[in-house]
Amino acid sequence: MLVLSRKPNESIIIGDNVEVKVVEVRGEQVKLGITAPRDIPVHRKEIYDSIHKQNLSAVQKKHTNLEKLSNIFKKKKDPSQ
Amino acid sequence: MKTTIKHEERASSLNGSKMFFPEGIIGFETHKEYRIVSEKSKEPFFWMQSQSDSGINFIIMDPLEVKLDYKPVVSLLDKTALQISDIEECMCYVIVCVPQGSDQISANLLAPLMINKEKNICRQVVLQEQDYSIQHLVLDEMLKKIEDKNVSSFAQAK
Repeated sequence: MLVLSRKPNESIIIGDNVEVKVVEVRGEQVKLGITAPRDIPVHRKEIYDSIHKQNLSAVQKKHTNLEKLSNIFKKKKDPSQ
Repeated sequence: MKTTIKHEERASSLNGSKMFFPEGIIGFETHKEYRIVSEKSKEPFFWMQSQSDSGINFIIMDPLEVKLDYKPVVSLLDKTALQISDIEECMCYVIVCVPQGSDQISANLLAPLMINKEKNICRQVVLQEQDYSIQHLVLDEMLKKIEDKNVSSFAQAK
């Protein structure tokens, strides 16, 4: 991993068009400003990690009784059923 | 993306549909081909089965069933990957999580499955700057009011 030291208001450029700027450092928190083209998604890593985790816990061996789940769902949507 | 068709029609028209994810889904990158198994009695839930591993199945549903105003905004990168120019060219499903021994049945609204209707290219996209939950509760408090509340039995073998 490339490690660079930066001060507030200094930035780094990744490729031709992604700029990451240190906006503020306060205690343990660093605020970063990211300028990137609209077609480059920027996510907090925890979000990716939590989607990964959620997918892993959603995977099924087909034992879930979907009919029962379906009945409860329909009852919830329309209690008269 | 609007789903106005009736449940019965949808279940039969979707059953057996193939889904091709060129990049897999997050955490399951090597599994690229899935098939939808839908039955009227299981609406609005469907199975999405991996074609390469029978042990990999997901429960999916139309997000509009749990969030009427759901409106995912897809990035240019995702549109390029899906080979679409407009979101209307896609169908959208979300993965439902039914944890064992828990009644916290949730849908992942932050990372929907987008499907190019014409070319059948699918992708799990991560929405940016949209305040949707990874664990949007599907049944929430209403469940507690229903007598048959033994939801934990869903997760057990039939």
